[in-house]
Amino acid sequence: MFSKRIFKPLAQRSVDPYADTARELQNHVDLEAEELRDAGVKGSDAECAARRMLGNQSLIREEIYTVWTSIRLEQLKQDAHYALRGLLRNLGFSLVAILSLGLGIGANTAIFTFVNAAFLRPLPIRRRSESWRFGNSL
Amino acid sequence: MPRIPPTTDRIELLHGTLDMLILRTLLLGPRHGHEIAKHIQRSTDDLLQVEHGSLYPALHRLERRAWVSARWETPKGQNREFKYYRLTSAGRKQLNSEESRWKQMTAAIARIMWPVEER
Repeated sequence: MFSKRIFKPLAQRSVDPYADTARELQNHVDLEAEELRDAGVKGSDAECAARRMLGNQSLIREEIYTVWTSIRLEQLKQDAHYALRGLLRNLGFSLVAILSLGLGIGANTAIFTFVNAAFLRPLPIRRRSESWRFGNSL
Repeated sequence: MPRIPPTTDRIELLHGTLDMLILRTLLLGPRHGHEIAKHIQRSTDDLLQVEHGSLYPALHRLERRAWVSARWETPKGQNREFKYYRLTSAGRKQLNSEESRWKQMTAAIARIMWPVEER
C-alpha cells in the first residue's frame, strides 16, 4: 500500500510522452506525400517534398522533448513544496528527526576527527627512527 | 518539381496565433496533426500557411498544458493509427480568452491604422 503510493507516480512519470513523436511525424510525411502523389508528383519526389515541407525532424523532436522536460522540473518543484509542507504539518516529529540526525552526524564527525588525528594519521615528525615513545598505553 | 509555395502571397502566422487556430480547429472535433494543418490552409484558401515544423511542437505544448488531450486511434476504413487531438474543457476556456484577447488587439491596431477623423 505504502510502496504503491511511492512507486505509482514514479512509474507514470517514466512514460515518455514524446516517445511516439517519430511515429507522429512519419505519419505526417506519409500523408503529405500521398497528397502530393494524388496531385501528380512522382513517387520519390513526393516523399522528398513532403519531408522538406516538414523540415528538420530531429529539431522538431528536440523542441517537443523540451516541452515535456520543462514540466518535469516544475513537477520536481511541486514535489519539494509538498515535502516541505508535510514536514511543517508534523512539526514536532520533524524537529525530533532533524535533531537526532544532526546529533548523530555531529557525534560521528567528532569521534572520527579524534580517531583520525590520534591513530590514523602518521605522527608529524621527520625522522621516525630517532624518535621515542614513552609510556605503554595505546 | 514538387510545388514550393511562393512566399509573396502567403502570410506568415503571427507568433501566438497558431495555438488559437489549433484550438479553434479542434472545436470542430478531434483531428490529427496533418488534418489540422490542412484545415487551416484550406479554410483560408491557402493564404495562411501553417509551418508544419512548428505545428507539432505547438500541439505538444497544448497537450502539456492540458488544453488538448491526445490518443492514438485508427480511423474507420484505414489500417493506420494516427495521434488524434481533442479539445478539453480547459482548452475551451483558453480558446475563449485567446479569442477576446485577439479581438482587443485587432481593434487596437485598427484604431491606429484607420483612425476616426476628428473634426
